Amino acid sequence: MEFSGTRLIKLSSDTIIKPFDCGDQDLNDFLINDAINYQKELMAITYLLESKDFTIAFFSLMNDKITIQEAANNKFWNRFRRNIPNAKRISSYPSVKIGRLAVNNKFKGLKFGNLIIDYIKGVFLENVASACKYITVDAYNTTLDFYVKNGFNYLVDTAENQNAKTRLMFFDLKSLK
Amino acid sequence: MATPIKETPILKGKDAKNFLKAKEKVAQQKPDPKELERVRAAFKTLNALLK
Repeated sequence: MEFSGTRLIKLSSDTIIKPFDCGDQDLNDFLINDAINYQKELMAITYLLESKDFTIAFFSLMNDKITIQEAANNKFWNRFRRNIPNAKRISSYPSVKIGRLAVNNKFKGLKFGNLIIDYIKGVFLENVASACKYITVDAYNTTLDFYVKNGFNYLVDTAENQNAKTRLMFFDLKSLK
Repeated sequence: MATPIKETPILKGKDAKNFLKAKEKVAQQKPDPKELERVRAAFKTLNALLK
């Protein structure tokens, strides 16, 4: 992979977005019209990987958490909780969500998507100011195999979710510790 | 407007059980050194490009 002239920048209201087309109008639209609004509202930060002439890829990150509603007095739950001291028994886990990630068609097949996923794992494994246990992603149905190959599992498996345009998935950062 | 980013729901029932089973499985595994090396390399590479 050649990185000469490549840079990773945080989107701002001053950023001139270089040409980008990932082949999905909805994702293109998110980058051009919505990403900056998420940022202004402090809802998600978008990063652009760009070459001299093109936006190679973008990804948007936001804080998240995975919360579990436990059934009371249930043997199954007790099995999972028995080794956790009472004071540490929590049912919410800190996470970071990949709200959107897309690669320009001109750069498809060059593994930039995998590189970005590994980078995000690395950021929260190596360089965090606060703890994060999971990476969640709101993945487009066309990209589910990509996330499975990168170690993600499905978070919600209802029929309604299976037929939705996007599906929630998660990766456990503890698998790298 | 593009499709809004979906919120992560509170996990209940089967979804909660599947999640905890996956969590337990990971807790029993050792990290894959090759994956860890790849992740660290990607972090180093893109962090160097971060402006």
